[in-house]
Amino acid sequence: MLLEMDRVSVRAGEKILVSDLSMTLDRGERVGLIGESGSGKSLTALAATGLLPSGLTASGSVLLGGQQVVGVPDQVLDRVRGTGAAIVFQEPLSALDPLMTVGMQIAEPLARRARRNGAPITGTRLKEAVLELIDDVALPDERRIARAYPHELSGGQRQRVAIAMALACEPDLLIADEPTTALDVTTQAEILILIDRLVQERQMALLFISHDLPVVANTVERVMVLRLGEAVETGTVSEVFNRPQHDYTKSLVAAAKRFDAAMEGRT
Amino acid sequence: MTITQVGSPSRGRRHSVALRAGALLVGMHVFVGLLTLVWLPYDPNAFTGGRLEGASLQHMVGTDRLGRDLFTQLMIGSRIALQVGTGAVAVGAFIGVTLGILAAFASKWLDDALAATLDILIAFPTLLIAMLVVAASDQASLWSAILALGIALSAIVARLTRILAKRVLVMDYITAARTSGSSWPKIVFIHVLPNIWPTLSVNFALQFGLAVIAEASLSYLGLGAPPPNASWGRILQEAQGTVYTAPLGAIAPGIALVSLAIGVNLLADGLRERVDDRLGDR
Repeated sequence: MLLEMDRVSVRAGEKILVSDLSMTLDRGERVGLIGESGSGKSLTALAATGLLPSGLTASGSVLLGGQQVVGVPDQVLDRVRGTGAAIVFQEPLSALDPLMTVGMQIAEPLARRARRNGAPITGTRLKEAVLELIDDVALPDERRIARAYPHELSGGQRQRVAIAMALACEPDLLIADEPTTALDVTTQAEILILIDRLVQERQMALLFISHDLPVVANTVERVMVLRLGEAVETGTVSEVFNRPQHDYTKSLVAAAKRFDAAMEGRT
Repeated sequence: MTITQVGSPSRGRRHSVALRAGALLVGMHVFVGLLTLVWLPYDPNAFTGGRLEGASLQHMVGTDRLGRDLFTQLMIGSRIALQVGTGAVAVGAFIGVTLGILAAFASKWLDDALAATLDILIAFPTLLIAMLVVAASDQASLWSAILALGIALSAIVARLTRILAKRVLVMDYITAARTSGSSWPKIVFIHVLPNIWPTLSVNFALQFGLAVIAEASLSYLGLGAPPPNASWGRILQEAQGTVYTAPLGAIAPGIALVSLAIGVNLLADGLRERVDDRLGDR
């Protein structure tokens, strides 16, 4: 089992933000985490990698690639991070360091991963590996992109760079935290196809977080619906979408259908 | 973002004026300061003319009450001002940035304690803190003045570093670096410091000006570099008694001090606008 979360809760002081969440993810499996904003989706992802912001505490048990994450000091986790899971964030602009060229930012985790694999790469070979990764996320003109700063790229291009950075870690699990929300519809579709392809090619597991039902439905096999920090429904995509059990899920599905109908009516 | 672009042509011209004027004034002092290392018109401590002479071809701004050439002393004053300014900012930056980064990472309790301490330190006038540090050291010297001013300036640097670092630390690219297994020290050096540097550097330039004026004040009070170091503050203080008979002796070091202070501030202003333009692109 790649990721095993057992009765995980996240608290901010007295307030419970995520309560008693359990889920498992096998190698190569794709799971969607659905819910409205504030439902604890992103916190669940951060708790899975032990990266909760200070002030938030997690309890329960999270096994990521066999390593306990909850209550383990950073120094221990630093060594296993990157190989276990990598995150792609919602806002592609804040996910990239504004003062560093894109190439440098991809080279950073790439070099670290190679070093930890016991085969450090430097200089020209590192540069080639960076260009290869940029090419892998279907960005044109690798050399120009590698030299560019984040503000010189479009939103979709930035998100591709962020994905390349995540891939550089060669993670077993890719966590995509609303990776398409900040993008326009056409770009969204392209990014989804890209993620789909990469996950398949590299046989990664995928934890896809979104509030957007159609987006999730096409990308994952199983879904978990979160509401106010609690898992209200889990199941395969077709189960949850066609025969929703919980009222909240029903309303979500209904809203998505109404929205689709409205969109079709307009065009 | 487009709005800044529309406004940028006129802004661009203005910033280059401030930057150039500042660079010119500061450059002049740097040139004179470096020149004193290899050449001086007179021995600064030799009695080369009559007492309290006015401006003449031999003595461009006259002589002091002991008959020493004032221009030579002013030149050395440039060097001392630059030394103290650079030294104080370096000391303040080192202490301040270190404390600020630590505070940004500290637990809430420690962070609050540090922030409160810094607030109290900032509430005291810089000069007062510097005077206390000098008073606590054995003997007033150039180095005690640098150390004193550096410590006095460090509180503001620490405060600024803390808040800037906190702002950077919540960015997704920090979390991304954490996920990929980067350690905290590495993140500080490759992400946090470069991102807070533009704002910090403007602050350093402003503090340089503050330090120069504060050093003159310390010397004026007899707490700066002791004689025979020709600090502008001490020249001013010595000219004080004879200001009605030989006004040039007080005016000249005043102009030297003001020109460096204005130069540094213009430079800081120009730098700030350049940083604003750059950060506006984000």
